[in-house]
Amino acid sequence: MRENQWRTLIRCKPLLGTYVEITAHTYSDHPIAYRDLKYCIERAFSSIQDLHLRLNFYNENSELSHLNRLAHLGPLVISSELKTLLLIAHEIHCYSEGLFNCGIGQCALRLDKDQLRFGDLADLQFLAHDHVYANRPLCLNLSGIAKGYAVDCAVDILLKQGVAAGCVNAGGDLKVFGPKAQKIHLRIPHQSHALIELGELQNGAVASSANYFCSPTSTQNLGQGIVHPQQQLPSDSPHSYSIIAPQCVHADALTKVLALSQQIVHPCFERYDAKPFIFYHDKNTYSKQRGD
Amino acid sequence: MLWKPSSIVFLTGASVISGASLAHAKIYISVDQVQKILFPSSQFTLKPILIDQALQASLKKVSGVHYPFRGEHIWRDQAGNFLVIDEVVGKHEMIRYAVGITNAGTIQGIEILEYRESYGYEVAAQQWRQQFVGKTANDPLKLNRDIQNISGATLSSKHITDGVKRVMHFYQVALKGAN
Repeated sequence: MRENQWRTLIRCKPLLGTYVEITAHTYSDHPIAYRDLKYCIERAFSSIQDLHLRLNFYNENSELSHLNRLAHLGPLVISSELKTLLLIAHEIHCYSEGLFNCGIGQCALRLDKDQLRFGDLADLQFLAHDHVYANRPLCLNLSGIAKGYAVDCAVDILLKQGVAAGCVNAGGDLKVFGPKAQKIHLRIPHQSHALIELGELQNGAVASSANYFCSPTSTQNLGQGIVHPQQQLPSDSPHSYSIIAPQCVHADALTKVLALSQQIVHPCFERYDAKPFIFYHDKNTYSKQRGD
Repeated sequence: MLWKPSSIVFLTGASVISGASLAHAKIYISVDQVQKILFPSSQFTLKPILIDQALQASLKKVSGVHYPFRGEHIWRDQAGNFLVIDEVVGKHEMIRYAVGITNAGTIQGIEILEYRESYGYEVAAQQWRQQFVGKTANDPLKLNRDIQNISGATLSSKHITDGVKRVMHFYQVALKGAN
């Protein structure tokens, strides 16, 4: 690694309801010149923009809204991107024994209890030729996993373009790649301007969930925060939950399992080679617990 | 995947955190760069516009953004495309961003130019210092421009959404007729 010859381009765009930052590195005799990084980053942003349009729960014209409206009426063909994400979500739903559940979109819409008769991921059947069918009407909200998936897809595109190293960070869910370990920082619960150095990560992802940027009762933050799938109530935990894993989509989803289970040791984490961390906030003191 | 936990943070199974650093700032790209990204073949000329009180009030009403709009960072090319630089201020952060607007009145692209967690920084820093006994706090507080990879709860980009709404309203009432 030629430390002194590396050049970096960082760009940031508002996407997925947050700020998406893409960092790309190259070095002087690498096949990807510095001027080409702009094009590579643009391709990665385009893929995130595409997923943003497909998976947006609040856009009635998105593919996800289409699925929510029609999947219970008969077999429905879906894109390979949505199918891949739903299969991952379905798998984590099973392995987490229902703790991770995208079938709680109605909570984000603040519907009355009488209106909460929607199915969840367990009601979704995957049929041949990219078709799905739902046993009950669905109100799937993929915001608990979509950012991580979008990060993985963007990193794949950067790697396919030949970018040597970099990072894609979608509002705190990030993945680093390349030949050198990179420092990872974490925002502290309720002191979100303050950062702590977590460690160094190479070719891996980190995702975090906490309520320090949103209030469960505020309509301004409609849909943000973690909702318990059984109680269908937003979590009011003051703590911060982080997962380090090879894939960002897994890290993103498993933060919800960690936050709801409050268990550092859970079979789900081992399955995805995930390392969980809880940062506790209690009466102005902070402590952490990690699972290895 | 290779993961090396920080030795500062992970001394024991459950410990009080020490070694925290404070707010950061990032400059992503320059105005010149964003012009080349959004309109690669255009030559832009600075066209500042004076924002009177009535227009300022109108912009605030439409967008809900209280921070005053500044009209000195507006560029126009010969084809009638515009590049507008604006700032939005959140609880602790200031974000400078660019909106490219085509001569048909559509958004060509939105790009973040600069992010600073400096708003209210001094107060927050003082509160932060008071909470930690034994923390090494001898270093002068300053914005850290080197911190790259930050995980944490999702920061909403709603401020930008409101800001873009303001910029597009400004285009409709003040720039569109200039074409």
